Formats: sequence, C-alpha cells, structure tokens
Amino acid sequence: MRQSSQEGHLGGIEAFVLVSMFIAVKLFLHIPRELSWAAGTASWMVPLIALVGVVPVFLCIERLANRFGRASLLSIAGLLWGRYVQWFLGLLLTVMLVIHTAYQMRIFAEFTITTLLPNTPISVVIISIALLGLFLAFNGLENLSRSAWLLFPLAITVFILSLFLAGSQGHIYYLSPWLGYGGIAIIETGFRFVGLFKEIMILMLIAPLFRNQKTFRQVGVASLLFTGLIFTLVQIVLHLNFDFPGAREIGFPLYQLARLINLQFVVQRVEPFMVFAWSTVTAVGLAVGLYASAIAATQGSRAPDFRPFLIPLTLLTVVVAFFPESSIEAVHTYTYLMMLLPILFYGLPVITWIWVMIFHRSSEELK
Amino acid sequence: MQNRWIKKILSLFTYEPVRRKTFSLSPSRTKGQNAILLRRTKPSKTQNLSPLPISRDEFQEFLGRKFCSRQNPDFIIRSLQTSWGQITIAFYRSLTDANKIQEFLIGPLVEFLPPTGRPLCLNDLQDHLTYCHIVNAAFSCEDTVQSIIRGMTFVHIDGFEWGLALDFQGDRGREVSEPHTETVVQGPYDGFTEDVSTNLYLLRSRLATPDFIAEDIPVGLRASGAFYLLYINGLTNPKLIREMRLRLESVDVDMLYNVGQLEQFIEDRPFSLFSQMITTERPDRTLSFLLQGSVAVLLHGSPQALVAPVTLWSQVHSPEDIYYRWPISTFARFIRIIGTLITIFLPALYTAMVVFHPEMLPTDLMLSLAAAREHVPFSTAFSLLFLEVAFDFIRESALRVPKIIGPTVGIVGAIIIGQAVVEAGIVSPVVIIVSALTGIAGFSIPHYSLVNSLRIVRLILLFLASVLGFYGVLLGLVVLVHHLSGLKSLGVPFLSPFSPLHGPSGDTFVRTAAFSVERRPFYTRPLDKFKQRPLNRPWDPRVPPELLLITKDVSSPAKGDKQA
Repeated sequence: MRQSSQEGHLGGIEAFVLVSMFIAVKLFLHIPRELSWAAGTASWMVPLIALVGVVPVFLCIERLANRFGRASLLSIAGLLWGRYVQWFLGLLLTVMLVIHTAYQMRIFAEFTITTLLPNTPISVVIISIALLGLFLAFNGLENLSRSAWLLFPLAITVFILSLFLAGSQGHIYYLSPWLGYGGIAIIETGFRFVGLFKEIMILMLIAPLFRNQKTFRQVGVASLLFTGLIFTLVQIVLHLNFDFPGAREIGFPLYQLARLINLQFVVQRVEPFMVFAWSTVTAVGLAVGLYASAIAATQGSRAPDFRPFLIPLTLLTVVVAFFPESSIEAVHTYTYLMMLLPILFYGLPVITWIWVMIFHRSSEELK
Repeated sequence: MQNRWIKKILSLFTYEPVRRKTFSLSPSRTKGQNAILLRRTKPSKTQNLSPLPISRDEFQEFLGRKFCSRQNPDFIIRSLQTSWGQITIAFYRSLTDANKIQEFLIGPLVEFLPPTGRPLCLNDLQDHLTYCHIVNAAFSCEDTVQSIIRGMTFVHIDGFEWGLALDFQGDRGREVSEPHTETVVQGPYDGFTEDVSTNLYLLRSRLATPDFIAEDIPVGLRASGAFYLLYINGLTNPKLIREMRLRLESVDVDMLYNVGQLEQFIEDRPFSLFSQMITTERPDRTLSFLLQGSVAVLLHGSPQALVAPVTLWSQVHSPEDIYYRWPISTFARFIRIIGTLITIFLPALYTAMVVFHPEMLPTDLMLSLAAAREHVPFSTAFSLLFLEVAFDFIRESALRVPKIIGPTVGIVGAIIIGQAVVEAGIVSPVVIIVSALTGIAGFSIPHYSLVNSLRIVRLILLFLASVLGFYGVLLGLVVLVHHLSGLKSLGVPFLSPFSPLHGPSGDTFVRTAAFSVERRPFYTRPLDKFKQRPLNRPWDPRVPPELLLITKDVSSPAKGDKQA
C-alpha cells in the first residue's frame, strides 16, 4: 500500500463532534432501556453521576498526555515497561475494540432490519455498514472528523427536533418518584454505568493528532459534558412519554419515541427521518471504532501506518458480529461488555498515571 | 495480467513508504519534496544549438527541408535583392498579414542605408525597423524554426550568422463577444476569446497594477502557444504560485486544446466525480478570483480561464452575485442551494418514501400516489431512471442539433415525456413531476461541470434508495460528504470554510453587504489580507464617531467639521 496521503492535525470542533459521536452510538441502541431498568424513573440521573465518575479518569489521561507531550498511551506504556508490554497492551486493546465495534454493528443491524428493512437479510446491513466504516476510516482521522463535523448539524437537528416534538406531548408525573429506587441506589447505579463514557479512551490513542494540550483538554471535557447532557435529555423524554413499566420494556427506545410523533403536515410520520440521525452517528461511531482498533494495533506493534491493519480488522469485526445467535444474545452481551470494558479502558490510564507519579522521573528531573 | 492483480490485492496489506508530496497551504503541514520533472522537451543549458547558415542558399535549403516547402505551399520563402545585400524572408502566409510585411518590412528594408566604415550589425536593423514592436534576434536554427512556427516573419541577410524574427501576425480570430455559458443580466457582457493576447487585454484593461503578472510557461511539444499563469504579486501566496508553476511545467504532452483538458492534468484528485477548479469565460470573474488570492491559467486557443484554488461554494456562486445588493444575492444563493439539494436527493427520497416508507406520507397523499401508480407496470426507480435517460437524450440532442431546430427537439421531448409516456402507462404523473423538478433544479447551479457531476451522484443515490430505502440514501450521503471533505483544490480543502471550520468570510452562503466584507477569503492565505479599508462609509451617520477616531479617517465628517 503506497501511503501518499498524510495524517493531519485534528481541529478542536471536529474532534469534539467525532468523540461525541463515538460515545453516543449506544444511545441509539438499547441502552436507554437498560438505564430505565436499572434506575427506574430516576434513570436520567445516571449519566450525570457516571460523568462524575469519569472525570478523574479523564484527568489522568489529560495529565499523562501533558507530561509526555501528547504521546499515545501505548507509546508511554512502551517507554515505561518495554516493547513487549506495549505489544501486549496494543493487542488487548485491539481485540476489545474489535469486539465492542462488532457488537454495536450487530445490534444496529438487528434494529435496522426490525424497524426499517424487514425483508433485507441482516448480512446486507452488516456488510454495508462495515464497508462504509472501512471507507471512512481508511482516509484517516482528519478526514473522518471533518465528515463527522459536516454531518453533525443534520444529525443534531433531527435528533433535537424529535426529542422536542416527543417531549412536548409527555407527562411530567411519569418522572415520579423523583429518586427512583432511592438516593443510594441511584448513586450506586450511576457508578456502575460509568462505562457509558468509556469511548473517551480514544483520546489516549489519538493524542498525537492534537495541536496543543489546551485543545486536547477542551475536546475531552466538552465531549463528556455534551454526551452526558444528551443521555440525560433522552432519558427524561423517554420517561415523560412512557411510564416506568413501559419504559423498561421498549425494544428500541429512541425509535419508539420518534414513532409517537404525528405531524400531519407534508409528512405524517418522521421516524424514517430519525434514521438520518441514527445511521449517521452509528456510521461515524463504527468507523471510529474500526480506526481505533487499527491504530491500537499500529501503536502496539510500532508499525508506521494503520491502513494495512484496517481491512483484516474490519473482516474480523464482521465475523465477530455474526457470533451472537440472536438479537437478544447480542444485546445482553453488549450490556455486559459495557460493564467490563471500563476495567481495561479506564484502568490502563489510571495505572499508568500512578506508575508515572511514583516511579517515573524525566531526564530533566533526574538532572 | 494475473500477476498485476495479485500484486494490487497484496499491496492493500503491506506498507510501502513513499515520498510525502501532498501539497497543502496550511503552515502546519510538513513541507513536501519538490517533484523532479522528467520532460521530453526539457530545455537544457548544455543543449547543442546549430548555428544559423551564413550563406543565403544554405539558409534557404535548410528552411525548404525543415518546413517541407514543396508540400507546404502555405510556407513562403522570398528572396529580395537590395542595394546593400541579399535578403531572405520566410513566413507562413496563413499566420501573417501580407500588407503589413510589404508596408512595414520590405519598404523599410529597401530604403535602408547600411552604416559606412563598419560592418552591418544587428542593432542597426533593429533600430531601423520601427514599425514592428516585437523584433527578436535569432542565432540558431532551432530559434529560427520556433519563431516561424509561432507565426513570426523571419528575416535573414546573406553573409551574416544572425536573423531577425518580427511579429506581423494577421487575423487574431473572432471578436470579443458575450459569454456563452455564464450569461448575466447585470454586469459586463464581454467574454474571453480564443486569442490569448485579447484575453490578456481584457484583464489588463480592468486591473491597472504592475503587480498583475502573466507568466508564460511553455506548453506541449507541438503546440504553438503557451500557458499564462496569472497572479498578483504581493497578494497571492507564493506557495500557490510555486505549486501551480510546478504542475504546469510537469505537463508534457503533444498539445492541449482547452483548459478543461489541462485541468485533468493538474487537479489534486483527477479520479473524483467533482471538478476541483473553475473554468470561466468572464474576465470580471477571473479578476475577482485573482483578487481573492487564487491563481488563473490562460491557454492560447481556449476561451476560458482555469482558476484554482476554489471551494465547492464558489461553484454554486453566480458571476453576477457581486453585482446585486446583498438580500437579492443571498436569496438567489439559498434558492440555488435548495436546487442543489433537490437535484441530488429528490428522486432518491421519493423512491425511498413510496417504496419503503409509505407510512410517512399523509394517508390521502399516499392513496393518491398509490392510485396513480396502480396501472404502471414498472417500479418507481425504473420509471425515474427511464425519465432521467430521456431527459439526458433531449439535453444532448438539443446541444448537438443546429440551433434552428433546437426548440423543435425540446417540444418533441416535452410531448413524449409529458404526455405520451403517461398515456401509455409507462410512468405515473407524479414521477414526471419529480423528474422535471429535479432536472430544472439542477440547472439553477451556475457551474456546468458541477451539474454533470451531480447527475451521476443522483443516479447512484437512486440506485441505493431503490435497494435499501432511507438507509441506502443515508449510506450514499455519508460517502458523498466524506468524499467531498477529503477533496482539495490546489492544497485548499474543498469545503472551506465549513470543513475545516473557520470564521465566516461574509461571502459563502450569506452574502453580506459589499462594504462590510473587508477581508479576502482566508483559505487562499493571501499575503495582503484586506481587500478594502475598514471604513468605507465615513459619511454615514450610523457609523459611531469612535470608529472614525480609531481608524483616523481623513475624510470623516467629524474631522472635517473640526477643521472648519
């Protein structure tokens, strides 16, 4: 593969949209239902509490990036613990990201054929979205972030409009009891769902692409706040429209919300328009997932370019996407993954930061 | 053959570093290495030049052999015996003006009196031939041949090792006329012609600055003219000029007939559907781009200028936008953008809605559409494709047939499309409306090349919509946006200033009032960032007096009053 194009820097706003879309993919899957199940009517507090839990982790990532001139976490790991550990961690991250992306791909495909394309084989949807992700990721993150930024206005307009139209016909008393299962239970559930924002780990892999530390910090903070706000809004609108027993049984929460809207002006139903927001965010999110897995493999093996990894990893992702026997199995496994993956994604930067604080001295400090 | 494909597939999984050569105007990019030109016609300092024959017979024999004068009656070698020497005049009859040669060359030569006491030198003749302003000396056979094929008249004097090439060119082609593809209601009515000198005249007569440079770069092995690289010294970014010069010098072909052909050689992504440069036949528009910091290229024989870098938005702008007041221009731009969206998406959205998501439509409309489609045996996508192809047939035939019968083709097409196909039950009336609206909306785009690109995009989206509904349209949309955001026009992102995001320039979608657009577009990174002074309406009572003080405007009413 002749690499004639070069990776450029990420713009602040483009990177913010990119990271936010990567985090927000799960919003369009079954996760709002899981939150309702776990926290009852107070599920809208869960993202806010989880956000509080994620901030220290992000601070570790930010401090590490600052200390090592925005080197990637795997490069820092290589510097601290040697190339074999770097290779192993790269492999581990790659595998986890492939599995994560594959399950998102599978659930997206299940939802698509259930709601929009009932006569289409699931393989068509999986392969088409995988090819799209491959195409998006292949041209590098700079191009991908620009595409995400261009698609963002369309996606956010459709999304906010749908939430507004659905929310305006809700009932405020569906939100009571205000603390759901109780204050302590809510806090405990909030910290349990800290994995809602686990995709923020992409920042540790793409840190070298930022121009300066300030942009890096701003992108991280803004993405977390924005997605936290969106998660909260969705949960509020969901509970405004569906009472608690109903909300925790809905198959596709956001799609169901869009189905409640009846315009009777030019078009009467708007849920196919919701596909624009849904598929845009998912396409970009999956492409970022594929890119992240390729870049983790690249950094772990100290390869010069990520592109040769991309096609094999996309193939692997498609293969893994076909592992679950049913939609239910895919949804359950993905929920478990959301709880398990933060151990690696959050643990790695935290351990590295602690190690650096205790054992590592830079050459200047040694002098 | 098989080996090549295997190598191509294997290359997807291997890494092969190559020289970094992506050009970008961004200062944060690493500098690319300069390409090494491998020209067939590369001029070399060590090239051996054959000296000009001294004797008249040898010179005439050389010319006769070189220009095949027996087979080429167009080529004239004339001998002239004067009181001071034997003169040979060589020229192409078709390229020169015989009257001018007789009056301004032969007459003065016959009357010429050589200096006494010293031999005749080059300057004596040059000083004497005052009626011609381009008099070049030639000392080699190669220079002689080059000057004659470019339409010059060559003069050689027996016994001397030099000659003179004089410009007595004849008719320079058609007169300046109205542009054919960029007509405007308000604005100048002159357009470029095929003669590059006339085109330069049209530009220079408007732009009165010595900084306006028209740099000539040799073109083609067998072409007579040259490229003219146009830019403004002290305004255009030198990186741009260097890059364009490099790209032009790299072109080494027999001949280029038009700048449209040249564009394919020098654009950043030649395999893209979209043109990344603008061809214009309007001198005012060319100058407007030059003053924005872009560069332009003129080519002899081409009635258009090629402009780069440009953005996608400038392809949606009309030349007359700058001549109207801002609300009218802004409104027109919004109409064009809506037209662009309709021409890309309408057939695909209609197909997706009717075939895959009829529940979206209000019940009455859905029933009415279903009733209209009831007797149509073909699918919606096929009907739209049929109309699209028919529409293209009409368009192509209207372009090709003589102008007198052009309207007839339109009428026949309208009858076939509008009436006959519906009555025959091939398509439904709604599909006709969709197709017609799509076609007309497409023509609201001023840049013809963009219209053609969007036709292909529309067909691809129609196919995706017919297979996957809204999901397919969305896939196409994401691919389209991603492709466009990756394009560059001479190192400038094609979707600037939206992607990458930069502050609004005041002349992208919304055209603000002319006096408020102070800066040139940032994406060309001009050396001189301002195109007008900050305060052009100091007499306006709405201008705050503090602003007048800050800008120290000498013509401000406040200062005038104080002096009074």
